[in-house]
Formats: sequence, structure tokens, C-alpha cells
Amino acid sequence: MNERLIDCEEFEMLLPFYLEGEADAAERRTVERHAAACTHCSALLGDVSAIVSAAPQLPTLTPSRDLWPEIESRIQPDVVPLSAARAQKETRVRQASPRWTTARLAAAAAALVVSTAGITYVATTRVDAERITVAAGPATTTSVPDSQGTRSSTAPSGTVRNASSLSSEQLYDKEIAHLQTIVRERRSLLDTATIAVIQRNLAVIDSAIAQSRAALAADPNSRFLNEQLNSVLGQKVELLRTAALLPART
Amino acid sequence: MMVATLDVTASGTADEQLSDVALAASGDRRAFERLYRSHVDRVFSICVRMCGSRTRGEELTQDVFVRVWEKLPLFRGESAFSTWLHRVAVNVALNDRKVQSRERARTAETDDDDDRDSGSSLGSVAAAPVAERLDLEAAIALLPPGARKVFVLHDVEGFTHEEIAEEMGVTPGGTKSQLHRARMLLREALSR
Repeated sequence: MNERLIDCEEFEMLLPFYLEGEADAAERRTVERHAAACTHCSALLGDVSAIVSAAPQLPTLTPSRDLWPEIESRIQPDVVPLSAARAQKETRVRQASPRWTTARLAAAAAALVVSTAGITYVATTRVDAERITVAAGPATTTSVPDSQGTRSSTAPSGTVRNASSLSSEQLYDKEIAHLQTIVRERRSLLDTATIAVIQRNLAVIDSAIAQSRAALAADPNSRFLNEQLNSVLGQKVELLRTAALLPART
Repeated sequence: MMVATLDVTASGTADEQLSDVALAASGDRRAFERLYRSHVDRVFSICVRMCGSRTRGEELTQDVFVRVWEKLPLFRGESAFSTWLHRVAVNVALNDRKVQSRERARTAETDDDDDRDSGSSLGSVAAAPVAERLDLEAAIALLPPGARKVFVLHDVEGFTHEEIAEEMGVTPGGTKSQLHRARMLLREALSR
């Protein structure tokens, strides 16, 4: 089969496609045939191929100094103002931020709790329905206990209605209590090893919650601590929700 | 989505790292320090090569880990931690304002240089294989910013053109063009 002959300019145009593996078989033969006959293009192909081969083998680099102390100082909450100017700046931030932070955190908590409640309602209704079906035949409706232990509908609308009037921490606490009840009810259906893992993780999260609350008691206006507490409360909701939705052991 | 990953180093098994990720997400600084020590070299390598400066690379590395600390509670484990960290590092390096402003100041000079270099690339014939003669690392640092970033992400880090284009907000055709330009400029620089 006759192959098209190309000049050096066409070779350079085809080269990126050749190197990227995007040239078809005919184009590849054309490029290779030209390179075999042209010393300039042969050198170009060899050099660029060598660069492409060498790039992923470049060694890992190491910083000239330990960067951790500076990173650690940046992730520490501010405790002692370094200067009067900084103290003034922080005062301004503290004056401005609590309302914004409180509103934002409450909105985030409400969003997570509403989402959680909706998903949990659908899923636990399904799971419980399956369980009841297995135990006692077909069932059309079911319910799970609320945080006070009484059985009631777990439809998310109640949570939605109440969300706006509660703080983010109250929202989380309420949903956590609700989810804990569901998990307690389903405990006998779950694998013991799974329960152990959940308990270990809950212990870590509970420890973080306790530390955050203790720190907040000393510095109630700290935006960082408020966010940190809400973050770990959110993690607890997520973990409990996951536990509430776990399939029964087989 | 970018899929390149950082290796779990000898300083921590995958299980230990998972545990440290969970602890760090709940506010444990010591666990986060262990994660830092496991991954700092890899993150630093990306930052240095993306910005072309070791000094700025160290600053960016700090920014990456501060950002990771802030975002860690949002990490859901849908991908490996190393993959997520890698993505944060790339994003921080791509969005670095200091480098961007410095690069804008350099644009006019580098554009002229680029035209000259690209135009003469075919005329240079290497006397020996490039990889044997060259300091590829130094040559990468001297590339124009756009070409350097695409070269580092594609040829060094192994991202696809589609992934790079998404991160940089350009088209895959644009990144292919930049990559070819970078390779030709490197060849020219290494053949001198």
C-alpha cells in the first residue's frame, strides 16, 4: 500500500497526535517513515519522546524546612491577640460575625437535618415495613419512635416546621436523639462487628463534641469553635443516619 | 474528575491513614500532622512544579494543608484521601493569586520568547539524548505559566486533557496545544 509522503512542517503538525496516541495507523506509519528518512525530525521525535518518558519519573521534592509549625499556627484558633491593632480587628470581627455565623450555621444544620429526616423517613419506613412483612405478613403503614420514645410518624415535615425556630445545636441534638432511637431499635438486626465499629466512631465524635463544648464554654463567641462544634455534630448525624439505614444482617 | 493519586508512604498504612483522616476531621491536630508528614513531599512537588518557584511552592504547600484542614469535615470518603488531597493541591496551585499576578506581568515577555522558541524548535538538533543532558526540572520552571501547568499536570502527574481542561476552565484542544508548546520549548531549552 502506498503511503503519503510528508514534509517536516506536516511532520511537526502530526507529532502531537502521534505522541498522544491519537494518530491512526496510516498517520503513524507516515510519521515514522518521515522520521526514518529525516535526521532533523528523527532528532525531534527522539528528544520529545525522551522528555515525555522522563517527566513522570521526576523525583519527589522535599521542602527546605519543616512547614508544619507554620501550618499548625494557622489552624490554631486565635486565643491571645498579638497586638492592639490585631485585638481591635478581632473585636470588629467578633462584633460582626456571631449573627452571621449563627444564622449560617443554623441554616446549614437545618438543611442537613431536613435532608437527613427525609431520607431516614423514607428508608426506615421501607426497612421497618420489610421487617414487619417478614414477621407478621403484609403491612401498609408503620412508624418509628421519636426522641421521647413514643411512636409517631417520622415524616420530615415536623422537622421542617420547627427548624427555623431552633439553634443549629438544638436542631442537631434533636435529630441525633431521633436517629439514636432508630438505631437502638434496629440494633438487634445489625451485625455485631458493624455495631462495634459504629460505637468506636461515635466515641471519637462524642469526644470531639465534648472538647468543642468545653472550649466554647470558655470562649462562646469563637466562630471557629462554633463551626467546629457544628461540624462534629453534623458528622454524628451522618454516622447515625448511615447506621439507621444499614441493611439487616443476613 | 481528576483521578491521579498520591501514594501512601512508608510512614502510614492505608488503615492508619483512614483512622488519621477521621481523627483529623474531628479536630485532632496530631492526626493531621501525621497526614501532613505522609503527604507533604508529594504536595510540595506539585506546588513547586506548578508555580515554578521553591519559595512560593512552600507557601502554597502551607495553603494546601490549611485548606485541607478547613475542608476535612466535608470529606466524605467517596474517593481516596490522597486523591482528594491531590485535587486540593492542584486547585490551590491553579488559583494562586500571587503567581497569577506575577505571571500577568511576565506575559508580554514570555509571549515574545514563546514565538521565538517555537519558531526555531525544528532547527535544533540534539547531539545526544535530551534526557541525558538536561536538567528537566529547571527547564520546566522556566516554561511560560500556562504551558508549564499543562505539562506538569499531563506529563508529570498523569491527568487527562479533559481533566486539566475542566480544572483550568479551558477546552481540551487548548490544553493539547499548550502541551505541545511546552514539550517543544523544553526540547529547545534542553538542547542549548
